[in-house]
Amino acid sequence: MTSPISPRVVPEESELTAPYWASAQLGRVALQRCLDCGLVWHPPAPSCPAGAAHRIEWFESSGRGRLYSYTVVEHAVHPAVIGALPYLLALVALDEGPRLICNLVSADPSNLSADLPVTLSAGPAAGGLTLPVARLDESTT
Amino acid sequence: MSRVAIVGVGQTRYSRESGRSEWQLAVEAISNALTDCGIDPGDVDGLVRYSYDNVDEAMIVRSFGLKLRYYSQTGFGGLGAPATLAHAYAAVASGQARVVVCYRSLNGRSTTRYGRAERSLGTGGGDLIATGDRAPSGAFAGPYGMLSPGQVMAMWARRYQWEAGLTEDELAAAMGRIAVDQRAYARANPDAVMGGRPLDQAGYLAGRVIATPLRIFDLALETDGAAALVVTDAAVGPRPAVWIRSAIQGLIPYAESIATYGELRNGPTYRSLGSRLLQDADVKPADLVSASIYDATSVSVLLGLEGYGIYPVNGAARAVIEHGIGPESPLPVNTSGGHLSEAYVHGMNLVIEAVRQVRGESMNQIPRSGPVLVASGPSGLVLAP
Repeated sequence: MTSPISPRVVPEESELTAPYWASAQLGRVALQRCLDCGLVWHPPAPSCPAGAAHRIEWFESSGRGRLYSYTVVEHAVHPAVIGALPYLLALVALDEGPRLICNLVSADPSNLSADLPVTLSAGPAAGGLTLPVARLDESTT
Repeated sequence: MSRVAIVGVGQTRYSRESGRSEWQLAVEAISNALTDCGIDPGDVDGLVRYSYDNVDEAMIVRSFGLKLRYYSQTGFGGLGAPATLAHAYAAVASGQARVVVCYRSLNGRSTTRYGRAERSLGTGGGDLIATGDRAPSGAFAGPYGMLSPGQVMAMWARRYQWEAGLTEDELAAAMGRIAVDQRAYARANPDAVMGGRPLDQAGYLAGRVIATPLRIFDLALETDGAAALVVTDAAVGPRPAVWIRSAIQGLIPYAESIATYGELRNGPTYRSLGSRLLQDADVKPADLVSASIYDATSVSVLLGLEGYGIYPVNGAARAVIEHGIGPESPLPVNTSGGHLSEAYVHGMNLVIEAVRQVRGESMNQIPRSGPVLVASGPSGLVLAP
């Protein structure tokens, strides 16, 4: 039987990424950082990219960043996202450094430009889950 | 410098529906490549393939009765096209093999569509499962609907527009010129899937938007077909030998295939890999006669032209708007029509066109003799007569 509701696109979790997804379902972004050199990275990795022996920890991102790039998806490459069309995919450069893929919601694509400030919080992801999504900061809308 | 040459090339017909298995296609392309250079299958002792290929070494060994002493695979999809030749080059130069066949076979339209997400999402519990951490379709991308290479490259295009200080119209003029010039090359190429369909800038702009700023004509075709090349240590067979002058198989953090987290492909690390490739061949960008630049999308060509030092950073778009990439341009690119208009054989058809140019056998032959570049992100080759 085919369900009338589109299937959701859900992430496969692992021991490595579980802390990320525990935060993500609350709309927050968990990142890893190095206690020895301060480097921050994403997606999660088992060790610090600058030194495999370094000590690392998880912390919560400020959720603030800048719009590195975006695209308005007008053609669905899978039936699961037809209902979400058109949707805005964004790459956000977080203030802590790494880039994050997300959806940009409540934004007018004709008004977007490089490095606009955005904030991440819980919202509707195109694949049907509630996840961290970006919104333009008030001062820029 | 060791003497290693591409002596044979072969391909199947390129189509939207081959009606045959990828195994059959691979066998046909390899047979054609061996016939091209007059080498007996019994003399083949090495194979290189893409890790993505469904036709594995054992299938080819069985089909031709090969006795191998060398085989290897290259990873990360399209980065593998020049890289397969880099492996063959190393194997022959080191004496691990004498005759190496490189191949790629895919029913990329009728079976596994690379422009769609069905191939990359798993299923479970009524949901679609996004696995791994690569974009597109990985766990950090798929849930947001980032599900195709074209969507990632749409983001490259927008960032490039911003960094190069281009208006949206200028970006479209540059990407459109690439699509239009490659289509014009395809018109003269009887193997080109889109050879019968002319395209001009107005037609380009009228194309359906897929993911802004990319339109349908900015994206690679999906094709059924196979291509193969034969590499050895001497000029053999009736065709002019095409010498491998240098090869690079680069990998840097987040470069793998279609990355979102690292440098754009005109970034400093890519440029240093590109400059190393040319330096190793003792070639300057201005010496190049033509180039095959991996065009999963039109913007990849702009970034590649900068990554390999043909144009300065953020300078390719304006240069392409002014000069194009046609036969009269400073560097003719993808002269078979490329992935946008000839066929998508995951980069291997681009390598074959570079070989034709060096041999003087292209349907769009550039009437100068000299080195030809093959570039796919951080992997590349310089070929020369």
